[in-house]
Amino acid sequence: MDLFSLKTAWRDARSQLGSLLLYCSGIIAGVAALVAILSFRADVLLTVDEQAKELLGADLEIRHNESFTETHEAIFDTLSAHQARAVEFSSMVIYGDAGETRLSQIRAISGGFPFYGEIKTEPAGASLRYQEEGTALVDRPVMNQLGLAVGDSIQVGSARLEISGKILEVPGESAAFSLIGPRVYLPMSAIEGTGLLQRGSRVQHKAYFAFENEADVRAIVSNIRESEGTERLRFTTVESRKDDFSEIVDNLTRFLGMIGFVALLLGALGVASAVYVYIKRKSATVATMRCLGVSSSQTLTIFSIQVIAMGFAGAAVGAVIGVLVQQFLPLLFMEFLPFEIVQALSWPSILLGLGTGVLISLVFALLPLLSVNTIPPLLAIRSADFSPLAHIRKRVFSGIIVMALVVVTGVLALLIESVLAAVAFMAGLIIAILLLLGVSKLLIFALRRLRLPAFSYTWRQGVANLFRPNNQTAVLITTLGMGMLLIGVMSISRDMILDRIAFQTGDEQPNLVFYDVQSDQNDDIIRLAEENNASVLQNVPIVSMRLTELNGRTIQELRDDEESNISGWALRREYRVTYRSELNDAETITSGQWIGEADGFDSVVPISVGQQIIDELNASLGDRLTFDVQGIPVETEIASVRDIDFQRPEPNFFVLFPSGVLEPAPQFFATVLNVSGGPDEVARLQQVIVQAHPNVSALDIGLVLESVRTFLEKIEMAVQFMALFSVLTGLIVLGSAIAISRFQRIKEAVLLRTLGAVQKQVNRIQMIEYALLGLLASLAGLGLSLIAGWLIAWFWFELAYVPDFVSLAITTLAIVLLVLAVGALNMRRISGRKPLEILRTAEA
Amino acid sequence: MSAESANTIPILRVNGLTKTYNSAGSPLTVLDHVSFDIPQGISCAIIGPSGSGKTTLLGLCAGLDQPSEGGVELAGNPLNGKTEDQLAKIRNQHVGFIFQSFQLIPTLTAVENVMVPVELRGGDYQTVYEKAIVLLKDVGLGHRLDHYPTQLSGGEQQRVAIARAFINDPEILFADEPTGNLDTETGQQVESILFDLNKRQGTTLVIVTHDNELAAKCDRIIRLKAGKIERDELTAEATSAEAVTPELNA
Repeated sequence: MDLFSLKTAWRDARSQLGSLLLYCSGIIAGVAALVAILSFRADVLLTVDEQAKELLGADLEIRHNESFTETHEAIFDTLSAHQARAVEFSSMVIYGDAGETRLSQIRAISGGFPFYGEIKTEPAGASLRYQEEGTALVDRPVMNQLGLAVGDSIQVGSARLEISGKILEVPGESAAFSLIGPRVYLPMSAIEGTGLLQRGSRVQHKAYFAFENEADVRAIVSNIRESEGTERLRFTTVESRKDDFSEIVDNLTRFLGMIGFVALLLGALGVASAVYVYIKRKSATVATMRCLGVSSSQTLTIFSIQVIAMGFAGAAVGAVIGVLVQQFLPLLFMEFLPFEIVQALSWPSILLGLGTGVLISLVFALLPLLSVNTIPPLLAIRSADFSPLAHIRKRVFSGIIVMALVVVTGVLALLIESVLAAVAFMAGLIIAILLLLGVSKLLIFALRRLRLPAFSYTWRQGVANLFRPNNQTAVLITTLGMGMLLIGVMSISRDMILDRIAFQTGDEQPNLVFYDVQSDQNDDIIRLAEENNASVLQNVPIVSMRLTELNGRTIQELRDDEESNISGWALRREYRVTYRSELNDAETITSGQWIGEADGFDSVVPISVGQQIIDELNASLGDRLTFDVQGIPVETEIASVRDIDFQRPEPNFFVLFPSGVLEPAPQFFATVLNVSGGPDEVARLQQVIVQAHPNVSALDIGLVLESVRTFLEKIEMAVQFMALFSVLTGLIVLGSAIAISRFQRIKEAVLLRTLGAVQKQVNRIQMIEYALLGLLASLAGLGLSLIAGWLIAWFWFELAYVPDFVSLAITTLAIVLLVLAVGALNMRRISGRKPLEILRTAEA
Repeated sequence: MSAESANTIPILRVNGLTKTYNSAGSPLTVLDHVSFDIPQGISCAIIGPSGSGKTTLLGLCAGLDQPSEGGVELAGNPLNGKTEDQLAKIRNQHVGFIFQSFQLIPTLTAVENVMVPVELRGGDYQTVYEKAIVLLKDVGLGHRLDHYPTQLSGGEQQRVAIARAFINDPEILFADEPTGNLDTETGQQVESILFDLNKRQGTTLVIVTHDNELAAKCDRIIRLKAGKIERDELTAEATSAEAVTPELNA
C-alpha cells in the first residue's frame, strides 16, 4: 500500500464519513447478534465451570429403577462419603382444601441432599427443616396458580402433609422443570404413608454421594461397575453432568448463532449493494483519477481502504451493541438455565464477532470493489450511464462468487465447529436467498404491471419510485423478507406441533387418561367415570415383563458379547405390554402378519413388535424372544412389525401380545376417557377419582397441551429474538438505502413541488413507496414461509396445513409499519426543502 | 429602463424585490430593489455575469423562494405571504418550467413525465395522455413515448421537458439556461421549438441565460449586474416584428 493511496483514501472520505459509515451499517445488527450469542455462550460455560457441583448437588449420583439391593448398599457403604437417598416418581397430588389435583413430580429425600447448593424456598431455610418436620416443599408456580400458602396442606396418596415452603429454585434444575409437572419434596419417612409404591409403579431410586476428600469419581464408578449385580445401575458424575449441559448449551448457542449469522450475511448483502451504488456514483471521480495517472491498483486500494475502515467501524458499533444485548440475553433463557449467569466481557467473543463482521463485509464488497477497475478514463470527458459490474470479466465474477462462498462457509464452520453443518446450512441459506430474490423480482415485475391508468398519479409515482436508478429494492425485499421467513417458519412450526398434539382433542376424542389403575380398582374407576359424564374409549390392560433371551442367548451373554451391537437399553428395560385381538388406529403393520388370537403360553406366542425395538434389538421377523412374566418364562416369536404413532394421546406399546395369553397374569390398567363439558369437568373427574384411588395417575391432555404450548412459546421467543436481528438488519439496510438515495429523493420531491405538487402529495407518494416495500418484503418472506410450512406439514407432521392468516396479517402489518416508520424519519428531512433548490442544483 | 405593453395587463409584476442572505455572519444582498413588469405573450431574457442574481430573481418570480423585501405578482396573484402549498398551486395553474439539467423524473417514461403537472391536479388520465402525445409529437419525440430518461439523449430529454412545461397551458414559462447543457446544433433545435410553442400558445417566456445569441432572439432583455438592473431594453427582434410596444419607465 503506497502513501498516496492512503492519503487519497482519507482525503476522499473525510467529507463524507457519515455516508460511508451508512454504507457499512448493514453489518451492525449481524455483528451484534454474533457477539451477543458468543459472549452469552462464554458466560454460561464460565458459570458451569464455577458451579459444576451445584448442577448435580453431589459428587456422584447412582440411579436404579428398583430399590437398591443389599449388595448395592454394601458397596455404597465402602465409599467414604456423605450419602443421601431419593425416591422419585410421578403421582397425582391433591392440593389444598379445594381438592385441585395435578400430576406432580414427587421427590422423597433422606439425608443432606443437595450437598452443594441449596433448595431455595420461601420462607428461607424451609429446605433444611422439612425432613425433620415431616412437611412438604411445593413448587412456586402451582402454589401461585392455585392460591396456596405456606401452612396449607397437600395429599400425596394416602398421606396428608403441611406445606412448609414454596420452592423457588432447585440446584441444577431450571424453572422449566415445573412445566413437566409441579415438584414436591417430601421426607423419605413420609413415603410409606402414601401407599404409592405399589407393584407396577414407575419409580426411580437414587443415591447421592459427597466425598469427604478429593476423590477420583471416574475410578470409583469404574470399580462399582465391575462389581457383581450392578449392571442395571446408572451413574452421573459432576463431569458427565457438566459435559451434558455444555453440549446442550453448545447446541443451543450454535443454533442461535446460525440465525445471527443469517443477519450478518444479509447485512453484508446490503453492504455489497451499498458499496456498488457508492462506486457507481464515484465513476466520474475514478475516471478523473485515471486521467491524472492514478493506476488501477491504486484506485482499487483507495476504495478498499475506505470500505475496510468503514466495515471495521460498522462491526465495532455492532460489537458494542452485542455486548449490551449480552446483558439481556439471560432474561430470555432464564427459565431454561439452572443457575444465575455470571456475566463478564468475553474478549475472544468480541474479537471473533468483530473479525467475522469485517471479513464477511469485505468478501461481499469485493465484487463491487473490483468493478472499480472497469471504469474507463473516458468517463471523465464523456458522461454516460456506466455500470461497472457489467464490465467485470465472467471468469473473475464466477471466481469471486466461489471464493466468497468458500470463505463464508469456512467462517461458519469455524463458528459452529462442523463443516458438514456449515455446508448444509449455507446450501439451505443460498436456496432461501435465491428464492427470496426470485420472488422479489417476480413481485416487482407484477407491481410494475400495476401502474395502470385507473390508479391515481400518486400511486403510480409511488410504484415507479421502487424502480429509480440505482435502486436496491430487490436487496431490501430479500433482507427484510429473510427476517420474515425466519419468524414465519418458527411460528408455523410451533402451530403445527401444537396442532399435531391437539389433533386428537376434539369431541369424542380422548382428553383424560388414567394410569396405574390396579385390577381391583378398574371396575370402580369405570363406574365413577361413567357417572360423571365420561365415556370410556379404551381400557387397556398392562403386564410388566423383562426380556431374558433372544434367539436362545441370554441377556447376559448378549451384553458380554463385544461384537454384538444390540442396545443395552432394549435388553435391560422393563417391558410394559398389552394384549388384544385387533390393532388400533395408531398402528400399521409394515411386515409379517398380525395374529390377534393365541392359545395360552405353552406354545410359542406370535407377537407384534414396534419398529424401534426391532432396530434396537437388531431383530427381524421370526426371531424368538423369551420374556419373564412375573416369574414365568413365555417364549414368543416376532410375527409382525408395526409402525406406531406415539404422538397420539392413547397408550401405545412396543410389544403387543395377542388375546388368549396374558389374561391370567397380574396386570394393571390404563383407562382412556372422553369427558364432555370442558376443562372444569375434566378437573372435577380427576378429583373424584384421585380422592377415591390416590395411587392412580391422571394425564389431562388439555393441561399437557398447555404445558407444551408454554414451553414452545419460550423456545420460539428465543429464536424469534435472534430472527429479529435479521429484521433489524433489513431496517438498517433500508435506512442506509434511503440515506444513499436521499439526494435523488430530495431532487424528486423538490422537482414535484416546483411543478406544483402540494406537500401532501409528495408525502403520499413516498408513503406509498415505503408501504409497498414493506408489503413486498412481507409477502416474499411470508409466501416462502407458507411454502416451507406446507412442506413441513406434508413431509414431517403429515398434516393438512391451515395457515393462521390473522397472525400472518398482523406480522405483515407490523413490518409495513416499521418500514413506514423508517421512511417517515427520512421524510422529515426532505419535506422542509424549498423548491428553489432545483435551480441551485441545476446551476451546480 | 422598463418595457411594457400599454394596453396589456402584466403577467408578472416585480416591485422593489430584494433578497439578502446571511453569509459568514454578515448580510449579503443578492438582489437589490429590482422592479419591472412583464406583459403577457412576450419573451424576455434575463442575462448577466455569474453571481449577478439571475437565478435568485427567477426563483423569486416563480414563487420558489420568498423575498427579503418587495413583492411579486404572478398572473394577478400576489405571492407574498402565501404558504408553500398555495404557491405550489399557483405554479401548477399558471407556470411552466424548463431547467438547464432537464430535471426529468428518472422512474417515469417520457410521456409520463410530460403528464405530471396536469396529473397533480387530478386531470383525466386519457385526456392528459392524449395531450402529452400531441406535445411530444410537436417536439419531434412521437417515437420515444415510452422511453425512460436514461434512454434519451440530452437534446431529447430537454424536448421532453419542454413538452412537460407546456402541458398545463401555462401563462408564463420560466426557463433556466435551457440550452446550457446542449451542443450548438441541439441547442438551436430546442430554441426553435421553444419559441415556436411560445408563439403558437401565446405563453410569456422568461429565460435566464448566458447565451447572448439566445437572448437576442427574445423580445426584451433585462441585464443584471451586482443584484441591480443594469439595462432593460427591447431587442431588434422585437422592434422589427413589432411584437410589443415598449414603454420604458425604469
